[in-house]
Amino acid sequence: MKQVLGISCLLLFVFLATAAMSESFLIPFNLENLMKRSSLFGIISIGVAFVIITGGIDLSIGSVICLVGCGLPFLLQVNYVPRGDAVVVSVGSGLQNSGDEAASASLELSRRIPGLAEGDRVRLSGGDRDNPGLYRVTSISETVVILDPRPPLDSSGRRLTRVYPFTYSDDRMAVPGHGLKPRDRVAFVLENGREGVTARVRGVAGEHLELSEPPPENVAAVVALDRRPRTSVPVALGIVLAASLAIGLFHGLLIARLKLQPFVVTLCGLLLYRGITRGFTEDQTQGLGDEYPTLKLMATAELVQVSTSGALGLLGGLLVAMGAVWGWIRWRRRGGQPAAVLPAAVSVILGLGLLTSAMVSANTRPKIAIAVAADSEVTADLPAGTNRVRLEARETGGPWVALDEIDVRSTGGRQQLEVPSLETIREFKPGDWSQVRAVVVDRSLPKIGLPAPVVILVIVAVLAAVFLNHTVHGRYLLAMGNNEEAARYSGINTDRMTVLAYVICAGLAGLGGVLFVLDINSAQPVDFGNFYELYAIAAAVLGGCSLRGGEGTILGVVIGASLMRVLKNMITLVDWIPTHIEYAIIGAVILAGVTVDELVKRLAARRRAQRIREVNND
Amino acid sequence: MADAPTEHAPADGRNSNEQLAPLLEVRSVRKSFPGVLALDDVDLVLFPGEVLAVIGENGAGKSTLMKILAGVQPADAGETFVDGVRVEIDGVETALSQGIALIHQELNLAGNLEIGANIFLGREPRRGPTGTLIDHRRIRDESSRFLEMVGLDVEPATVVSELPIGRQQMVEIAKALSVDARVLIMDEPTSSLSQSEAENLFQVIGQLRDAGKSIVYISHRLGEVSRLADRVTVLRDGSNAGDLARNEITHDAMVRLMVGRDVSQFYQRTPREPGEIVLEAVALRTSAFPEHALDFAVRAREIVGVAGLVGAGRTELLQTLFGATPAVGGLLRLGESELVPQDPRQSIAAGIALVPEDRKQQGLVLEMAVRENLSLAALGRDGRFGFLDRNREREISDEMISRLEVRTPGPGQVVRFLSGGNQQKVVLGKWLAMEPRILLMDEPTRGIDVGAKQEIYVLMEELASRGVAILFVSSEMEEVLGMSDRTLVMHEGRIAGELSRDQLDEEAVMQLATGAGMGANA
Repeated sequence: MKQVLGISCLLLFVFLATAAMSESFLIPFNLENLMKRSSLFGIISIGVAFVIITGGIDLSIGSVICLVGCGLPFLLQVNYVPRGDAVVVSVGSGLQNSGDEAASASLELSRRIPGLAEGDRVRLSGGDRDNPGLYRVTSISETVVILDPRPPLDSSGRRLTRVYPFTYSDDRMAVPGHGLKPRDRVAFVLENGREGVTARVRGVAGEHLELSEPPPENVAAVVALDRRPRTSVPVALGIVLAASLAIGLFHGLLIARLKLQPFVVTLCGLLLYRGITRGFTEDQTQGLGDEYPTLKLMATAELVQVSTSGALGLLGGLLVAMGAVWGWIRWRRRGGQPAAVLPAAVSVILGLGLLTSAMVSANTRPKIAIAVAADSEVTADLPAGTNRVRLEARETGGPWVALDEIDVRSTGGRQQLEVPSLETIREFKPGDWSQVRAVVVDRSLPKIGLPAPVVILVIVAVLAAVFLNHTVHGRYLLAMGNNEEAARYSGINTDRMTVLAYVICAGLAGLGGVLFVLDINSAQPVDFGNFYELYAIAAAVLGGCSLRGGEGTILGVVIGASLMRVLKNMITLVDWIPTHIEYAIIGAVILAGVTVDELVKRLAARRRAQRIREVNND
Repeated sequence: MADAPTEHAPADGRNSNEQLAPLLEVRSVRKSFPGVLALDDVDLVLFPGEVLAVIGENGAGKSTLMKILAGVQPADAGETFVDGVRVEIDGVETALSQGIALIHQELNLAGNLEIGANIFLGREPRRGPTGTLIDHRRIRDESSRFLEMVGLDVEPATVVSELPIGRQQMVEIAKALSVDARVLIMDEPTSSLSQSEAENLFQVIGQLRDAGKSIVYISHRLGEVSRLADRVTVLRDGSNAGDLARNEITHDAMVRLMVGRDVSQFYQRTPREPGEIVLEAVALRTSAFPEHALDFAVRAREIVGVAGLVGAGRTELLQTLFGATPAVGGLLRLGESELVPQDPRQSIAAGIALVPEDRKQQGLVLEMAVRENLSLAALGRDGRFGFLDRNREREISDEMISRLEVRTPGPGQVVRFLSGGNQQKVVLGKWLAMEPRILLMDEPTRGIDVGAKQEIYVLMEELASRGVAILFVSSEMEEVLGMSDRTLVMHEGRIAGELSRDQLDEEAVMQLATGAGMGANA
């Protein structure tokens, strides 16, 4: 708690300052994005914190994120392959020799098309002259088909694709024998064989398909397109996560067994994994497009909706409560010294500040004045649901006075509102009322969603904190970070702990890479994850980790990561801060934070030494 | 124990300094470190052209006093006079400007640089119109002159790390001479020198004295002191214990002043009957001396001392027994089981514990709390499904703190802030929590004050009578003589001999340690 106090105050200060300086900071979209980004960086920062606690460093995180972030879409890349499709190998001339000009040519196909039978229709396309057309199969035996009408003689090398007839009525499309599954596609084919738009299959019920688009006019048939992802989701996730864990293992073994320097090993990693990624992707941007909407929910879902002022109030209340309890404990332990409760008092004051800002933001939201009228009838646009409407009246030139509040149900859209006439008001409340109006009072702020990565971060952080503080191996990690030799002399397997730290780090970088790419949905091998290792290291250092090892708390690291993101957000949003000095500001803040932290630590050390001296002099 | 420092009688030795005023004098110097009062009103007088030996046990405050004289550390209180004038020494530069130079115990040379560059480090003569270039020729010429003064016949362009340690020390002395030092402080100069290198040093010291330099000579080796010193100042527990003039310098007189009490009382031994053999080394070879196979045995309820000179392989032996440096041959018999020590984890599992020589580097996690250090070795055993058992941890640390009387504000105190003696108790407590059958101790009382020292001796006795086998290495003759039931003496990687309690005396140990008694017991 004590270690993270300073950084928490700094975070809160930057947060409130940004809120004061920019109107667009507290809007839900921005806050959600901020939370999401903070969480993603928090996850990778926790990973690097483990390595830093052992006294090592990992510079390869950004490249691991790149490898995973490009590798996952690469592995999940989806191709749509026509169902019932073969290449025409040669055009037989046997039937032509019979002299029957109307007779069809026989086409030899590269493979047998399963299920293709006489009477089915096919499409011929491709070849030297792309002149597609639709044909009917008049006879078929194994790989030889005869079509009607007779295809052109240069058909060899063209592609023969089975097309399915369909019927469309009542928004339902029936395609007999299609064999499609949900998430496959169909391509509509015109009578002349040309391919039109495609549509996604949403649902399948027997031969009926539910499509994302209705069929356009003049469509003769459909081509069934099977969805062929390069690998399945579990396999792809398994591969990228296993790869990142293997990278961690590789680093750990080199560092623990061969005693190579962590800086060197991971610097080479930084170059290596980005290079590998650029190699297998051929430097092409990787992305998932509109595929895998459920998988993307991992990074993009918004779980609980709460009001902004509610969230602020909750945070403020938490700070007040924590500060009060903490202050009480310190007060009792230190025997009533006023100085002892100072830090706790700071927390209470900050919490009260947040509570106030929550209340203010709840009450100063603009209300929507919808009507000013002396008439008894007003029409207005009302949002759907129950609206709180306040009736107000005023004397000429005087202030508006609230008369009554009523609930008005609305289905949305323009609606008539009944407003009492001035006479009625005068009867009800004496006064020289000259105007009356109805005001829709918007008591609820826009809701804010809790992004899924926040939940993932909380899970990761809790697991990490429990590991570090409550397990034997966590203690070993801290001990060996402080003094590896003493740890070894106490019977701790320091090699194994080193390897473990690097595996955790790379594993969390891998998880981060997955979430980053699912969120952004596009990853360029050349710069995806660039500099992320430095952001993560900076966050860990801000959060109280010493690069000398043995020090650090998970909570501090998470707060450090958040601080980095809020700073970046501030630089983007506040008008008078030029965005191109972003690095300068972030660098200066980290330096200031670390300097203050060091000074505070020295003070604490001096005080502790003083206490020892007192004990020894007793 | 003089209360009036100015009344110090000048040494009446062979140099007859009576008529001379003191060159350097310090009065009532005080210095405290967290947890220890290192110097308590200490006085020191140094006359021109004399060799003053400052002796005392470890922790008596000798090195601290010298660091204060040389400006390496500031004193908390006290006055310094040079040529009768009060001066404020607030840094190494001021000390040097007063002609006081410290030859460090750990040599303070940049091994990668040449001799000349080291001698003139930080004060390089310049040349060129703007004075930005180093005048290498002058460095070479001047260096040769100073090297000649210390009898060192090497090129100034030689890289320091290529020199043997004794010659490096001469470079240090030459460096001190080059700043025109009048007072040369030598802190344990012979501790890492061979016999002939030491002889050479003594010659140079004699020449320097004859040239009018004053030398403050710190040593544990009383033989050297009686040979070299014109006068001896003895410190004990951070205070003046007394001075000895040239004609008073005898081994017994020095020991009496240093120890300040009857040695037999200091080491309280209880009669014990050694039990069965719990540790037997069979042709054990250490990586430091792979050519020598070591064979010996330690019994339960037995305290075995390992004596020898620095570099005789004693520390290496304990490190190998503990598995910290893997054995290159041989094995250990531990009762029924056998062990080829390769890793501390196996040794610990077999009931072997090591209190290492380098307490801060190998014994403790300095930045962690007393409680966390005490439980560190036992965590794996006491954890439940990999989770810490905090109650058990608290029990262990509370028990050890009270049993060993660790003086700490609380179990949550960071170990770095404890005094040396209390730190050593924490190291011991860590192992006692594991209930070892064999306790290896490397210089168990190095750098700790006398009170804590005695507590550790009492504890060793107590552990031995409970059945623990103790094998300890010590460079303090008193400790070896006082504590061991049996003594192994090592010489250049071999066990030169074994002395039973009746055979044990200083002379016998030294004979074996210097290799003179080879074959007597082998």
